[in-house]
Amino acid sequence: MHIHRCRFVEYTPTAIHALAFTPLSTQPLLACGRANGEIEIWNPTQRWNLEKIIPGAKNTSVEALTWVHRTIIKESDSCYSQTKEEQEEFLNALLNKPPRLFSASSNGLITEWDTKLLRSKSSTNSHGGAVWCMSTNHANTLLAVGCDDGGLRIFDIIDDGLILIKNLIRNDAKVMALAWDNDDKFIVSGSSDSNIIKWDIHNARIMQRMTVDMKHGKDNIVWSIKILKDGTIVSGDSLGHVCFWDGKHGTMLQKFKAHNADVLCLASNKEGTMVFSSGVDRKCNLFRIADYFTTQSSNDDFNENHWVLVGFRRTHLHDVKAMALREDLIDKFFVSGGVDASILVSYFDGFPEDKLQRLPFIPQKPLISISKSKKLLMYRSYNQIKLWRLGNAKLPDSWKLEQIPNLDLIEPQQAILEMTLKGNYHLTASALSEDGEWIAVSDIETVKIFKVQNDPSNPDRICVKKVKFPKILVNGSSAGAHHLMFTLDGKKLVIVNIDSSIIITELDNSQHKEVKILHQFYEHAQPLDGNTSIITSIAVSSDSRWLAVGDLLNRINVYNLETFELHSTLPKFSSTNTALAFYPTKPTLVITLSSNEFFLYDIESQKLDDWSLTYSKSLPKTFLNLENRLVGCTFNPINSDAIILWGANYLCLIDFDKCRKEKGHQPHLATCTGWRENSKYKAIEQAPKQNGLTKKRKRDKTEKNIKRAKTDKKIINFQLVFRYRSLMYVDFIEPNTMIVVERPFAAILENLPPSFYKAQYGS
Amino acid sequence: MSPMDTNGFRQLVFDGRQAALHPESQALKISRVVGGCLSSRPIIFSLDSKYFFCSCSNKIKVISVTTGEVVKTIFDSSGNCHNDEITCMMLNPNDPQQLLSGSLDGTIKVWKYSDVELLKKYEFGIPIYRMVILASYPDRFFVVTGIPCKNASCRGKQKAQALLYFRFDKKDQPEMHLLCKSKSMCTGLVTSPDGEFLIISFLRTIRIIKIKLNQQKGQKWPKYTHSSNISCIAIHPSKPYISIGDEYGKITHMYCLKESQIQDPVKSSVHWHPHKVNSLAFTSDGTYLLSGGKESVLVIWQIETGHTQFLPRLGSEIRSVTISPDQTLYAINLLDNSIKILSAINLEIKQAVQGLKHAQVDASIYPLSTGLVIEPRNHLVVLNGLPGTIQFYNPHSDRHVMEHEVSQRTMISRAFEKDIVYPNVNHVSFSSNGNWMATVDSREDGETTPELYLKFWKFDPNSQTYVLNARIDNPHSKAVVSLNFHPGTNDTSLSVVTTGLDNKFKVWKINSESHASQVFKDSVSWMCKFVGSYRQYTPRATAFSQDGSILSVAYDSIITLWDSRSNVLRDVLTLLPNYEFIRHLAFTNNSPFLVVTTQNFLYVWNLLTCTIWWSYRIEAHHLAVDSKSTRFIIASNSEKLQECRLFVFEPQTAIPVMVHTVKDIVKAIAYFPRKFDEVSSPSNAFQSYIIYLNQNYDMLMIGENFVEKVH
Repeated sequence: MHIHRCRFVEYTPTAIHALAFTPLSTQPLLACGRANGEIEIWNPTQRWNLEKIIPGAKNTSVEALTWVHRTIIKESDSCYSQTKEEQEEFLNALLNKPPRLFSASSNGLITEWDTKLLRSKSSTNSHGGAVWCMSTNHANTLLAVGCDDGGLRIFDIIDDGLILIKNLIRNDAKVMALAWDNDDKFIVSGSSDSNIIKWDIHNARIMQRMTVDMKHGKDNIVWSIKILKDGTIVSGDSLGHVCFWDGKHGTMLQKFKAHNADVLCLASNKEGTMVFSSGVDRKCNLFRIADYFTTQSSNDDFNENHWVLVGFRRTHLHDVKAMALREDLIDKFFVSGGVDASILVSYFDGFPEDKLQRLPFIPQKPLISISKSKKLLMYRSYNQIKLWRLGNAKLPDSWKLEQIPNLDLIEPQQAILEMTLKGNYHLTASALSEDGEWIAVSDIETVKIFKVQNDPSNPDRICVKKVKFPKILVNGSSAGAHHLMFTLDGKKLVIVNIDSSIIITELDNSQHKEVKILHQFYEHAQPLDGNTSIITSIAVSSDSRWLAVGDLLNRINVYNLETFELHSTLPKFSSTNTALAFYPTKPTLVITLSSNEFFLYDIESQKLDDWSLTYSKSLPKTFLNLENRLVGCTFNPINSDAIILWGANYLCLIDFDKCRKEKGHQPHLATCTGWRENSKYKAIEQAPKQNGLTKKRKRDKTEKNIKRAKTDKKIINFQLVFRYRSLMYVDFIEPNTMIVVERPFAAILENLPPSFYKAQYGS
Repeated sequence: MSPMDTNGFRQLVFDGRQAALHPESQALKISRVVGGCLSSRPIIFSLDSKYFFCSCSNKIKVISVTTGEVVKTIFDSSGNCHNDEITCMMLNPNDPQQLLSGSLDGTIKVWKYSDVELLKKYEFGIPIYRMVILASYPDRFFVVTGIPCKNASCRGKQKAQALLYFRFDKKDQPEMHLLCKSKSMCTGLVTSPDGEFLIISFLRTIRIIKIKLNQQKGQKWPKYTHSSNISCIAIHPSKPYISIGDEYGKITHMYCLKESQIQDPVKSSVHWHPHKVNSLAFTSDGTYLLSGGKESVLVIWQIETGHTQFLPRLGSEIRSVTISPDQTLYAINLLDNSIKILSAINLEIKQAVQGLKHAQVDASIYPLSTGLVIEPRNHLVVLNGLPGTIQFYNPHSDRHVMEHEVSQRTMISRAFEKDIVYPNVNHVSFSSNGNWMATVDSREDGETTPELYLKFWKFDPNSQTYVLNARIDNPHSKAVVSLNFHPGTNDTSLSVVTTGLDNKFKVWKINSESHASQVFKDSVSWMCKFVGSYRQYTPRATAFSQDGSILSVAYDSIITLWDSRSNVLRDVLTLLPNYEFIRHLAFTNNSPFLVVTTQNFLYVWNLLTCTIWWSYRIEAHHLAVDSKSTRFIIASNSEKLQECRLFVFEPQTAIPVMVHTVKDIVKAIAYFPRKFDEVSSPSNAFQSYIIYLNQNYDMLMIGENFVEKVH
């Protein structure tokens, strides 16, 4: 088998600046804000499924994130509810509302996000320059932001935005951190001039000022503040100290020189018995209360909380900027993220030794589309489209089965198109038609379709021509798409609107002038039990007859693209679907779930495939418990009875034929370096060399399967391959020729500035 | 001389197994016991911190802090001493003038140490490894015992141990409860200072036991599992936590002594030691924690601030740390069998007690290959010290005199999981006046090139040490079997014979001819003057006759006699039966006899007739020849009976002069000359002590006080 091992796609995730869990009153979700303004929404209950990505925009960043979910009735609500029944009804309605997501940016805007349409709902100016920190009060009625000008601004959260109600000004230094008192009467803020200020909100005045240590007279920035249940204030500053202050008197209780550099984030549990801290030195420290009063004193007043530094763990590879903690789920855990762009989930139990989970940093929806027949590969970055023609390798004269030869490229891959799109927003979707003639891209505002033409002046290059496309309007404003997909015959383009309606358009190859809208499906835009959701995956069958669409509410519909009818609705699966794919040869749909289960659905008979009925509920445990979820599914055209499922770090070949041969046979899993098949294997690796100016030169590698599966009597039908890491895309371009797009983590780290901490002897 | 048989030699074979019944056999008297394994168990300070108690197999030494002298030895042979090794000691909490000692023989004895008086004896009937007694409950013991093992396979490190509670009634009848047990070794047993909790740690688990008079049955005590192997524990004197040292060098403070925290104890860990923490000790005010381990660095942790103070270069791995009751002294037991008493104020060494350094060296890797060599200048005993060194020890004063580094090395603890292999000194030999010393040291770790050096050292009277004069790399292509100085020559014509497994023997001579160059005028050098071999047989032992005229080299079962001046082969003596190889070879003093031992026989050759004068059926493990008289001694160990029989012979007769059975395994034996002031009566003027080293590294001196009765 030929494998194109591509490493030339320079995908670079950006630093994580903020992490926030939804309040305990709603379903658990994690919002992760990045430096380029992108906000990801992860679902920890669905095995850390990345559900949504709110695209970023130009000149924004996410400095702080807050979920707001109000569970109490404000005085101003009394007009809606006078009687008790009305009040209860109103409260229930409040509880059933999804939480609202606010983000604060360094451009001074506080934005509320529409988590359905994945775009901003409203923006409010902070009136104080860049916003560095933001927090709601415990009642979720007020939002306090700390600004660059040293002011603390308090907004009332109303149904359609924010109203500034208080402005607490202290013009000395930036407000870097703030925390609400447990009774929502005070705010404790940390500023960049070594002070911790306690504000009385009602009277808008300073109540207390605590000063942290300064070194050489230089200001010490208080990066992070937390208030515990008993009122103790915890602060983390740029000297690496974690200080515990008495909340009432403002005296320092304990100070730990726990970090070698800035403490950027703190997290505490609800009971206030555990505090985590992390920062520039990459350490994550845990502090706990030890019940401490000495046996000599029977006096109970002496019984004070004594904090103990339990230990630390250094798991991130660069500065840690944000932490968030959630303890109401089965496992208590906290997440942390920073400049190394990946989220780490650490569990309380046994910290700092035990469990740890690294969420994949590579996109969970491929940014890559290919044209199989033309051997084209298209990559979408946040504002660019890049197109390559894949290279060719010289076949070796004779196959040596014992080793994996590296093949020389006789023709390197060639970047043939690089297109930077105008527009303020980052791209959300892109598609390349199978014949390579059409390119469709979209941000949240517009969908753009380009016709690819050969450049008459330069035969190696191609040029594109924009095709007119009617504006799609959602709620009165121009809207883009969440997904784009061409049918394989290149005649139709499927557009998934941001409001989850699906538009089928016809492409006219002869005219290239205008694109006609053929039909529009609204099934997914309909709310289900009052909830609407976004479409997560679409698939088109190879005969361009069927379109399968799945959304976050687990609705999967199959449409007939010839008659424009809803063909069937699949039964609901237990967990969210992550990918859909059609068999190339038969009308069977493969559905992968976030639980790593997968099902085969026969569209014509409208029921689960025989194999799936027998085996889908008894998949091997190792496969189900793989750390990373399934991302995609692909088929080797030569072997119609096998599928290849892939996740961020693995490929798995599943052979259905072998299962059928032996009745009652339980699926058996084996891990190997390559797949055993009768055909020969080779791989072509395409990677940019690290040295020199010719960055896009290729290094070739051909490989063959060297490890033969064990010849024991068990028939191995699940073959796991961990050879390829950080997979961005896997597909077959022709029989026995696979394309694997990798983005090694080391390559991303190389582009980062050097980290503060360097490992030395013994660590 | 005796008449000869027709065969040409007189065949006299005695069976040594019946020799003990021989009417003429005499008992020997042990006159002095020195040495011993001093630092294997933690020491105990007396309450006034002026003395400390140091257990030394079945004895307890009371040593003064100010002088370092053994003031008393709690040991007497009247049956009051322990029959087995003492494992634990503690002062009676109710009467600090009393010392309790627990032993593997199943007894705990209460001593009044000021006048070495046994006050009370508690019979437990089970080996005692650790014990705890509380002030409020006298006659109640918490004892760690090893569960008896039937098969030999469980005798490894993973010994099952259990904690038992004993209560003695007025008739001293014990009442016993099993508190807890584990399949692994107990690593620590401590009580909380208020006497409320008893904490026991095993290899991986820690149990907290609440001490109450009326214990309810089936009570569940909390049990914690540690993530790595525990090596030691300590309890904070006032705060409710214990500190756990583990094999990775981490010290974990676990706050588990309060009701509110028993379920989910808060742990806090500090990590400095790269290797196992061997000992932890809190000062009684609870402000400092002392820890020590393989790195030979004493670490003093200021607990509140986490500030650390170090006392590095202590010379050897720290086995245990003890703090004196008045907090002014820290005692450190080191792996080189020494105890160092430090002042707590400036961390200066106030007193050091040094035993035989080889006592705690792993003898399977670094065997005691030099044996006991008597240094002729000051009559010191020279033997292997720490790997790569030799130790000079004065048995009369029981003092360490000098450590001599044969191969210099930097003290480093191991860098990786594998232990570093150090060079080992194989042989030491002195010239007759002690001005020259020759050593052979080798190092082979199976990875790097094997090293083998023959070194010549000259005594420097100014520094009173030996200074390296010459180093010969790879004197033999294989391991060196023996090293002998030619006895009867002066400093200008010294020679040394080495034999090696390369089937050669080499004669090295000093070359002190005056050089033309002014620089090397006074220098002397060593050269190989002769290489000999005999029919490609492997040499087993060499010996010089007393006058130095004959060099005898034993090959397998053949003894060759060479003229030591001309290096000409004079005679070959063949031993029958020849399937047994020669082990030892020695010329007797002042008589023309050659003593040869094989695996099962002792042969004495008469060199005048070149015949076997007599032989004796005995398994001789060690042979020593007296340099003052004609006698020689044979030590025959019996592993089964854990005893050794010592036979003293005159070379003329096969009837042993004396036979003595000692309840020891003899590891090395030598004749040790008496001090001149001891030679009071002319009758024993030429009698030397017999000195031997037993399995506990006690050095026992036997004086022959009943010599007159023989003959």
